[in-house]
Amino acid sequence: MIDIVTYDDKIVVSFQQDINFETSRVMEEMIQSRPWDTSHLQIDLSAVRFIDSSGVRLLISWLYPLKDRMHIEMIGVSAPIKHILSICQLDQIVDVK
Amino acid sequence: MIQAQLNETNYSTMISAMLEQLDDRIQLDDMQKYTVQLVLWELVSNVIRYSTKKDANVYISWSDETVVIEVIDQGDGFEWENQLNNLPPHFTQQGGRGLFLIQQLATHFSFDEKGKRAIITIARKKGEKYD
Repeated sequence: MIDIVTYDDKIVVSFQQDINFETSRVMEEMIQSRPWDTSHLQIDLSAVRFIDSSGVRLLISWLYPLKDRMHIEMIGVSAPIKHILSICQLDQIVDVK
Repeated sequence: MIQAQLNETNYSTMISAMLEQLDDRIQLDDMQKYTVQLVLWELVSNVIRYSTKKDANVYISWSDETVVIEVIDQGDGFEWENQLNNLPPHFTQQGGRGLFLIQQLATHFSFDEKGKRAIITIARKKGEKYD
């Protein structure tokens, strides 16, 4: 569901499936159980084809409290998901590539 | 027209099946497909979360210009008036983004008076809502 790899200089979080009403609750439990002690958080969405509002809520509730403590970037973001994140202003707190 | 009855046990499979059927019948660009998928997930998950019956009838029809999605809650309906907002919810707000996203992506979005029947129109021609 989510792969998390810790390197010396960053943590890479790779979502392995869509983030929606059906999957977001379990994903949130995995995310909220970790301390996220890093200066660079990289989120890989290349395996994600769809995010609904439950997924956006998960990302915002996770990342908004971290935004002043580290550089957060998203990679592998499809054009439609980029548009959704922009509408919800997530691109104001995350470097969406 | 494509139609289906969705409930809390079959909604994920049924939404995927409806999207496949639609994809077989008409040509939509990636953002239009995403918008149809988003509308179905948001409105059906609303029914499953909040409705007294957890059942929804979904109808998808189309013309050369539009795709029209109708979602009918088989329960008592939904108090939608206070949920519609033209501004994005603040980062500290937990919910409220589902209907906001539909408002931003659809050409037309309305509920009937009882909040049981939602109608959403999505433009098929580029430039009418997004380009």
